[in-house]
Parts: sequence; C-alpha cells; structure tokens
Amino acid sequence: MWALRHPAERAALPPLAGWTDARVVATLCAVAGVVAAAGVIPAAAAAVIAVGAVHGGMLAVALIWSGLPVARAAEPILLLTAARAGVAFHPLGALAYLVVPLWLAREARAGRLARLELGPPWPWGPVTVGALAGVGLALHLIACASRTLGYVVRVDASEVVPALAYDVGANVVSAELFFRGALLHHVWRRSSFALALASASVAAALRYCLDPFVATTELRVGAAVYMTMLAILNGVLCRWSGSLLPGLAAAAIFFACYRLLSNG
Amino acid sequence: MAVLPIVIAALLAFVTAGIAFDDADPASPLRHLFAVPLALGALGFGVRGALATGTGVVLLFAPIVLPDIERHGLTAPVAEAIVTTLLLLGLGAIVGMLRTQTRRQSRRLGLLLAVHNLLARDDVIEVLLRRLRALLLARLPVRDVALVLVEGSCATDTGEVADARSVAAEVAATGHARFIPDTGEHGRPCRVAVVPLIGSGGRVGALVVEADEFPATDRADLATLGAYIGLALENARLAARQRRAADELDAKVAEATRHLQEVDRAKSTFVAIASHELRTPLTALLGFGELLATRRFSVGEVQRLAANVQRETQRLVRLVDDLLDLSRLERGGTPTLRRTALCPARALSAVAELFRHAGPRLVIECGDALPDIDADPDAVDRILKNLVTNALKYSPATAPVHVVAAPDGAARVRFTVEDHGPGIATAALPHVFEPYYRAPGADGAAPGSGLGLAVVKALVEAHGGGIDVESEVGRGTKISFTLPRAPA
Repeated sequence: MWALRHPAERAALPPLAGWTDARVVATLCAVAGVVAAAGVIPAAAAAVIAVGAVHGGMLAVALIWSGLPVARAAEPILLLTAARAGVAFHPLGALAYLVVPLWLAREARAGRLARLELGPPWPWGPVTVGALAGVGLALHLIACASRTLGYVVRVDASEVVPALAYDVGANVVSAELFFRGALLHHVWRRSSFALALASASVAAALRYCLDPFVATTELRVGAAVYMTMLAILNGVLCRWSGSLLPGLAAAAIFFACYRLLSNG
Repeated sequence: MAVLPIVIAALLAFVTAGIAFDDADPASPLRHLFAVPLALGALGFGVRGALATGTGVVLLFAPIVLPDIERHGLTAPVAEAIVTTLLLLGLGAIVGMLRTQTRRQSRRLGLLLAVHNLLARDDVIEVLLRRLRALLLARLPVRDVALVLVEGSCATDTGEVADARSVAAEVAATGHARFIPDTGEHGRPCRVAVVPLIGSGGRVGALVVEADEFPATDRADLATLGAYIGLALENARLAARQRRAADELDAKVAEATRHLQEVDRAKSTFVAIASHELRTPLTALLGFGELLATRRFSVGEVQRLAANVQRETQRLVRLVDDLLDLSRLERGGTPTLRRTALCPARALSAVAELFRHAGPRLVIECGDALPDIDADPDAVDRILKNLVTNALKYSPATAPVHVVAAPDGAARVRFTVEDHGPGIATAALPHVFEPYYRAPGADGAAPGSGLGLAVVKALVEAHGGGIDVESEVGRGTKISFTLPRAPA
C-alpha cells in the first residue's frame, strides 16, 4: 500500500515535463488557426492550415501529454494537413484522413497511448454499449431536427463519405483524445471526476460553438446541447470502461448519423 | 433493484407515447405522469438516479416541445408545460438529494454500529484489526484499507508494516490528517486519505484508505470514523490489558495458594516429626528417670544411665535450639553471633571429640597453617555437628565420612563434609535448605525434623559465608560451606 511505504511528498503526479513542449505546440497551432481564420491568406490554404492547426494541434497536445516525443506527436499535424490538402484536389482526398486513426491504432497497440487510456486489451463490450448510446443520441438529434427544423435524412455518398472520413480521421479522434484522453484525466488526477467531467464537457461544447463552420444560431444551440451530452456520455463511458474506445465509437456513430441530415 | 431502471425506462417511454398520441401536445396533462419515473429514479438511486431520469425526461419531452415552439412560438400553455416539467425535475433532484443523504447517514450509522459490535468482541488486538479491516473493505467504496497503530501493529492485506517515514506513520505520530489527491502510482487517479485514530489518551494510530474518489463529505465522515475507531480500539486494548492483568493475578493467586498448601503440608509433617523427635528423648529421659528413682544401681551403672540422660537431654536441647533459631529466622531475624578468631583445627577437633563413637568412619583432614576464621565458635560447632550428624545418619554403618577444612582463596576457609550415602535426587537438591523439607525417602532412612540444614544455611549466611550441596544418587553427598578469615 502506497501510504505505508512513501512519505506524502512522494505523491508526484505523472511527470509534466512534456507540458513545455505542449504549450509551444498549442501556441503555434493557435497562432496558425487565428491566421487561417483572419482571412489574410487564400481560403483554400486557410482551410488546410485550420485543419492542421485545430485538429492536429489538439491531437499533438494530447499525444505529448501521453508521453510521446514532440517530433512524433507532431506527425498527425502533417498527416491531417496533407489530407486536407488532398481534399482541395478531390473530395475523396478526405479518405486520407483515415490514415490518422491507423497511425493512432499502431501507437496504441504498441502501448504508447496507455496514459490516454487507449490500448489493448480492447473492451468490445463497452464499445458496443458506446455505439448504441451514440445511435440513441443521434436518433434523438434526427427526431428533433426533423420535427423542429424540417431536416430530412438523405444518403448522398459523394457528400457523406468525405464528411465521414473527416469526422473519423480528424474531428472525433482529436476531440476524444484531447478532451477525454488528456484534459479530463489531467483535471481528474488533480481534482474530482465530477469537476473533470464538467471541465472537459464545457470545453468540448465551447470548441464546437466557436467553430466558424457552425455558423447559424440553431446549429450553435444544437452543438451546445448535443456536444455537451456527447461529452458527458463519453466521459462516463471512459470512466466505466477504462478506455477511450467506447467514446470514440459513440462519437463516430453520432457524427455519422448527423452527416445524414440535410435541410434541403 | 436491477429491474428498476427497466421499469423507469418503460414508464418514460409510456408517458412519452401517451403525449405523442394526445396530438403531441406539450400541454397534455399526461406530462405530469413524468413525476412517477422521476420519483422512482430519485428514491431508488438517489441524486444520480434523479439526474439520469431527468435527462431522460428532457430528451423525450424536447422533440415534443421544440416543434410546437417552432410552429406557434412560446404560447402560454407551452410555457406552463415547460415550467411544470422543470418543477418536476427540480423536485426529483431534491428528493434524490434527500434520498442520497438519508442513505449516506444510514450507511454511516450502520458502519459505526458494526465497528462497535466488532470491537466489543473478546479477541486479541491483531485479530480485531484484521476483522475491522475486512469490515471496512466490505462496507466502504474503497480500493484498500490499512490500520496502523502507534505501538506497531499493522493490518493490511499483505501484512506489510508502515515505514517510519511514510505518510501513515506521520499521521499516526502527529495526529494531523493528510489527503493525497493522487499517488501517481496507477493509470487511474488513486486518492489516499489518512486520518488519525484518536483515543481519550491521545493518538492511537492511523486509518489509511485508498479510493478512486474522495469527496469532501466522505473525508469528513472518515475523520469521524477514525476518532470512533480510535476510542473503540483503545477500549478494546484496555479490556485486553485488564484481562491479561486478571489472568496474571489468577496465576499469582494460584501460585501463592499452592505455596501456602505446601507450607501447610510441610508444617503438618514437621509437627508430626517434631512431636516424634521430642517424644523420643523425653521417653528415654522418662525411662532413665524412673529407673534411677525406683531401683538401686552401682556407681558405674548410674554413671552410664546419667550419660544416657545427658545425651538425650543434649538431643532435646539441640532440637529446641533449632526450633528457636528457625522461629527467629522466619520472623526475619538473624541468629545472634559472638564472633571471634577461631582456629579451624580446633573446631574440627571438637567435632572429632564429639563423634568419637564413630571411630575410624570419621576422617578429618585439616591443612597445616590454616588461618583463623572470624566466627562464633558455638555456631560453627552447631554447623559441623548438624552436617556430620546427617552424614553419619544417612550413610551405611561402615561408610567413611570425610570432614575437610582448606583455604578458599585469600579471604575464606572452606569446610567440606562428604559422605557415601544414598545421595539426594537432583530434583530435591534445590529444596534441601528449605525449612521442614525432607528429601523423598529420607523419612524411612532416618528420623529428622527437616530443620537442620535450614538452620545451617542461616548460620553460614549470618557469617557472610556461602553454602552449596553436590550429590549423586547412589554415590553420596558433599556439602561445603565457607567462612570468612579472621582479620590479621
């Protein structure tokens, strides 16, 4: 038992040496994001930079927090930037986003993402529960959006596939790894789970509310409500299962259903 | 309890379906039925149940309310429906909180009662600690528990002992509670709370608890529990000490009783022996007296009878002297000595003269130029007479008895009386100098009071000397004593 062997001063939280690197990366990505949003560079280039800065930045910070060296943690930034650049040439270039989950899967299998609670053994039971929860939340979204705002479900592969690839390869993984994997655990270790869940959930909801692509009020309200619920759901799933995978499944399925909605 | 969530979910679905069939009117009176699953959630699972059920209500009610607002704006009936539903949610949360509080208090009191019952058992403290730890592990939502006592007893699952510099030892020593938000030892946060166990007499030890979560209220409860366990442990320890003291007292009383019984038995034996020993010379004296009073004897015969009377009288005097000495010793006094410089050779000559009748059996050896001893001549005479009498009495009629005096270092002279009699059993040796004690088998071998050696020891020790006995069954006995040399 720890308390019988160590003095109180030995209760060192996991090393924070990586935080200096994380701050540098976060600052650079924030600057890049502001530059992209400011409209001072061409729109195509701005979109490429924005994806790399926002999703890549979040992923890189989470990976540095988990103990990966900066150079290795920055690899997803390059992968995401390259994928977004591919989209500029052809919508199916978005499939390149899927390289990022594969890259993460390789790191996770090697046990390098253990601190983000991503690694074997894979909890397939909780993953199923997470997927069902994601389906439930998505059905609610579809019901509300269709009854309230007149949205309809329409499957257009040419639109859905690139959007799905973006969600799975960039949006979902960056949000889950940063908000649940890094932020939630960081606050949880220093405080209570309730506070950690609240912080991570509010931060996740804010990230979508501040997203320039979430342009209308109804979208912002919807994002605030559903992203908060998804964040809470994923936080609880993470604590219950001890893995980020169920949350990833829930978020991926939720966004997949969301992409089926169309107001046309 | 496992069915309750399904019942709640079914009720939520039932109420929603009812409202949907009622033209999906948000103001439908059926919405009030949401109170039922809310109440069930709150009463069954406390505040968490209320929140989960409330979330369900919001999720199910929103697709009914929002389209209506979108189509007709926020009308009064819809606003009322929203307000009343929100009131229901609020009430559900309050009921849930009350239920959680009640359950917490009930669990707390149940735990205190269980601790009280456990520590009231009649067990050794280590066993109590192990059971207490098992109880706490079963009743508290924790990973691990350890109890560390100031005196060093420690109950853990591995039996490990607290390091002197550990936080557990620190809290046990200082009495100040410590909370560690995360040890950093596991993948998940591991909180550690260490609270002192305080008894009425001060710090008793520390209660160490590892858990996933430690809300402030739980920490406060833990401090109360620590204080309670401290008092209960102290009581248990006092009770154990009292039991030990009572056991020790019982043992002492039993030992004293046994000793008194032995003394009583010895005194009874002594009374029997002494009456026999007193009666023997008295009978002889009575017989010789009658003879002298009733018959006429020649002068030679009268002298012989007078010598017999004198011998028996001396025997009687010796016995009475022994009794008086022993009586004085038992009252804590010491024999009165008139010490003077005494030549050991002269003392041995007196003995040889006294036991002349033993003839060549009595072998006396006295080294040349032995220094004088600082002793009471009468006492030395009695010591030697007692020892030689015993040696002659308990030896076969032809076996020699050696009486030797020799220097013992520069300051003492050692006297040794050695016989070749039946010897004394090893078990009896430590008791031979005890008053009234007679070695097993001695009763049949020769008469005696059991006082002689006790008196000898007392006289030797009164001189500042020492006495010891060596014996081997079938080979004989050697008793030697030392007396101090007279100052030059």
